[in-house]
Parts: sequence; structure tokens; C-alpha cells
Amino acid sequence: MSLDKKILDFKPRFKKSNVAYSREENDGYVSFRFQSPGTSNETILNDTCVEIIKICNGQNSIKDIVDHIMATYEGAPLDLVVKDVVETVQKLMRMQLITWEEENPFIPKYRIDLGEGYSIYRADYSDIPKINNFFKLVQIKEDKPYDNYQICLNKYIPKWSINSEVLRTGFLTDMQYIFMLEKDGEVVGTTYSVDNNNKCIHTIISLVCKKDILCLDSFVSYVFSLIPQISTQNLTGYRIHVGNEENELMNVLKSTGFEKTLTLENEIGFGKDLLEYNYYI
Amino acid sequence: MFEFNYNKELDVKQTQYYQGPLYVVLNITNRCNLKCLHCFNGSSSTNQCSEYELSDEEVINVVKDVARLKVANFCFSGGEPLLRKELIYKSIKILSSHGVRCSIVSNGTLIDYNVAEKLKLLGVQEIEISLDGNCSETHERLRGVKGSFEKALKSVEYLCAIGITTSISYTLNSWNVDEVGPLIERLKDSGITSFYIRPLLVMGEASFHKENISPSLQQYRKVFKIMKKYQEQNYNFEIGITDPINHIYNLRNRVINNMVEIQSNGDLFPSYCIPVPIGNIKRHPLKDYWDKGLNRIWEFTSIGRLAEGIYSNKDLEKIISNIKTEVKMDFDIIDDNILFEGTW
Repeated sequence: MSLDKKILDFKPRFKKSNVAYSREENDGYVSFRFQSPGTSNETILNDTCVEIIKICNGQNSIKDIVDHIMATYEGAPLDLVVKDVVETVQKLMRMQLITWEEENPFIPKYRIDLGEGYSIYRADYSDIPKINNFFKLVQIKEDKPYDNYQICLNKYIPKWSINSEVLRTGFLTDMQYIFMLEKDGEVVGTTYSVDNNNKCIHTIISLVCKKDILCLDSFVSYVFSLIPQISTQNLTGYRIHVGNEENELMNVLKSTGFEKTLTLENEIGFGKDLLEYNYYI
Repeated sequence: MFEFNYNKELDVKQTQYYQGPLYVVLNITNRCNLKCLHCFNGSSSTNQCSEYELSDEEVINVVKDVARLKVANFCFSGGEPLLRKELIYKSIKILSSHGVRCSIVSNGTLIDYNVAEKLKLLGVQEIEISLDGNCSETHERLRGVKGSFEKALKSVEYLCAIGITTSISYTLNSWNVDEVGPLIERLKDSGITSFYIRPLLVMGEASFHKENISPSLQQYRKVFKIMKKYQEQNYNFEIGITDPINHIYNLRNRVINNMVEIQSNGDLFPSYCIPVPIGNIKRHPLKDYWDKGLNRIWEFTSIGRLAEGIYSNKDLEKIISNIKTEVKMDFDIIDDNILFEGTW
């Protein structure tokens, strides 16, 4: 097997509790309906996929699963089985049907050093406490954020929905992108965005960073140039809905190529407009 | 080697793998005890189906067929389904014993504590109650019968107390826009699981009253803002706007069909939004229709063409009126031996 050892050692666990309904169909197929999310509802799997699901219990590694399938389907070509097992696990992951304990090899960290103590990496499951602490520090849910920080928050995202549970669910797929900017090991900025199923527009949920960050341009450019390369969607652009507040972050977005495409007057209420910014890749 | 399919990835050939529909809606009666101006089934002004209504025996036969197919959800709708309460009890008993999830869409006026308790005991999983205002004047102006508002509210209270998942359906019209917020607040601690605002579908009875009751675009936007405000409050229930034609986008893209709507006279519709009968349960069992084309009905030229033109409620309105005037209605995919290449 010519696969990365990290992938072979990866131990996925199928979320059985998420199965709301299943039925045996014709020709050995099994249909499933999952509790959440909507995108993974009404899925039909053949017998080999069902076989994989049965042993995705958090104890068996990808290698163990491959061995099991090889033993069950005598004579199956190894390369094809490896490819199919990996693809199946990845698809289950995108449907938020897999959990895992340790680092997920399918979600690389994309770590990069920007110099002068700054570094960027893509957050995963294990970074949730760090992200939460940072959001708490900057008071992202308050009407007035902490003075030392600036925030662009998508006005269509309810503030209460930015919590551990939502982050955790998001990390069960590779469609949620949170990049962390650190200075000498301390978090000083984040970007938080998501792919939309079957849509080519990537939605930005929030951008947060400390004031007077030297490499803000590089941070934003790196993230927005990387996402289309690693996204499984065929992205054509980014979108964010913000209020009409001005800050350095907004200026950086505009200089990166974000254009105001729509103004919805008094959309937020209290005379405040909502602005839609788009960036076309 | 492996096939893993969902959404658009599902291949046409594989639609045959579904042994039956996943979702079945049975409009168990077209009769109703209210006179709603916005009824998309046209139940309030006519009893047209009542003489052709499926008999108790015919309903039980359908229910037994569906129970054998182990569908994911069987929904009783109408008319007001609880006008055939005893038949619903019998049906739910059969469905529950086969592990089929059952739900009911009701106006709530016939649900007292005893009915709620009985439904819970029989295994009903979810009941959707229609509330179209925050006071009797508004609700009853649309629903045409005095006392229906208080009864609907009481039914919500009983159902939540009994522990049945209860959702609220709020059909938006030009008279009730300002009552969305107050009603959400009234229901804050009621125990409901969801509150969904539904756009008005200009079909059935609603097509005769659209000038009076259709909300304007500005009113839709206003309600959208109100809804966002309440979503921010993080109440114990979901608040949202449903898109009644969402399933059409999904099904026409996926080709595969997973649902069927059975009318009170036995007619089979691909969707409540496409009221074109493609067979009748009195003529052949559901399973036969499924295997002989219902499982691929969105691929069928005429249905597919209708669905392709629907991108909004306005499109739906136009298409429905065209169906009435242009499309041949007496049609059966089995008896007429219609091949999928054919048109009609």
C-alpha cells in the first residue's frame, strides 16, 4: 500500500447515533436517512460501503478496514480497495458522519511561517478550545468587541451560533476553514469560513485580528488564495455580509479585491444597512 | 467497486435500487371543518372528493402496503385528517407496528387531551399544527370559523404536555405579517420544536383570493428580518422560513424520486406542487406504480419539463394554471403503458 502512514493509521468512527432510518433496498443496497445535516439525508450505499461503516468504530485503522475488505472480497485488487476505502471515508467525513480522536490526516494544517514571529495554520478539531478562548477574549458575541481587536462578522450568522458545538460539527467535514494567525505562539487573528454544499460561493463567517498587525495583508491573501486550492467545491468566489462599520480589516478585504455588490437599506434595523461584498476568484 | 451515492451523484440506473418511496403523504380526506381562504388543496370550498374518497378498507390496504415497504415517514394530511380519526388510529397502529414513523398535519381543532394521549400511545412521532396569527381575529379571518384559534392553541398545549413533537406552520399572508413576532413570543415556553413560516402558495382556494391575501415582497422582507431577530434570541425551538418548492429543485436534479402524495380519491401526485395524477391507488397497488415508473417520475418528460420551469412560487402559480388548461389530466403510467421516452 503506497499511502501515507498517517492515513493508514487513521481511525475513523461512524456516528451510529446519527442514523435516523435505514432500509434494505433492492440488490443488496441499504438506504439511510441521517439526523443531520440536510446534505447527508437520503443516502443509498452498496453492500461494501455498509461493510466499511460496520467496522468504522474508532478502533480499526484504515489499514485494518482495507484488510477486512480484502478478506471479505477475495481476489479484489489491493490498490482499488485502498483507493475506495479512503474515498469512502472521505465522503463520510464530508457528510459529517465520521468522528475521530487524534489528528485527521485528511485535513492538513497548511502551516506557514511569515517571519517576525508570525505563523499561520489551518485549525482542526484539537484547536477548538484555543478558538473559543480567542473568541471569548475578543468578545465576538458582544455588541462592542474588545478595543484591541477588530472584527468583521457576517450579519446573517446569529452570534449565538458561534459556539463549540457548531465548531465541532463543522470540523467533522473538510468544508469548514478556520485559519489561525499566531505571534510567538499567541493567537492574534482568525479567519472563519465555510463551503456551501452544491454552491460555488464560499461564505465568510468572521475575520478577527488584533489591531496593528504587521502582516495582516499576507494573512488574508494567503488564506484566500489557499482555500480554492484545497476546497472540494469548484469555488468561483467569496461572500460576506457586513454592516457599514469601517476598520482596517475591511480596508484589507477591499484592497484584496472584495467589491461591494449590494446595499440592503435598513436591513439590520435601527437605520443600519447591510452590505454584501463579493470577491470573484 | 464501491458505490456511494447521495444527492446529484446518484446514477439514474440506481433509482431502481429503492424498493419503495421513502416519504408518503396521504390526504386521507379532502373534507375540512374550516373554510381557509389559503387552502392549496381547495378543501374549504368544495367536497369534490368526498364521494370518490378512499373507503376505510382502501385506506387500510394502502397503509398495509406502505407498512410492508417500511417507508421513512408516513404523513396524514387533508383536508383535516382527524375528521377520519378512527381510521387514522387504525392506520397508525399498523404503521407503528412495522416501525414506520408517522406524522400528521392538522388545524388542531379536533385535538383534545384524549385525542393527543391516544395518538401518543399509538406512536405518532410528530404533529404539525397550523397557526396563522396571534389572535382569533387574524387567524379566523383567514380560516373562516370562529373559535378555531383557541382550539388550535389548546391542541398545541395538549400535544406538548403529552410529549409529541409539535411544530407550528405559519402561512404568511398580507393580514398576519405583524403577528409573526408576537406569536413566536407567545409560544416561547410552549414546548414546540419548530416554528416555520411558509410562503403562500397560490394554488387551490388561495388562487381565488390572491389579490387580498398575497403578501407583498416588502412584507416578505419584513418577516425575514423579524425571523432573523428571533433566531438571534436562541429560543428552545427552531425558527425558519421553509421553501415549499425546495423538494422540486432537489428531485429534478437527482432524477431519483423518493416521495409520493396520495390524494383523498386515490390519485397519485408526484408532489403537492405538481397536481398531475399519474395513477390511482384504486386501480393498482402503490408498489406496482413504484416499480413501473413512479420511482423515476422526475425523469419522465412531461413531469420533468413542468419541474424544470419552477424556480419560484410565481413560476409555480403560472405552471399550475397551465396544468389546469393545457395538460391532459386522466392519465395512468401503468394502464396507459407510458414509456419514459414518450410524452403526453
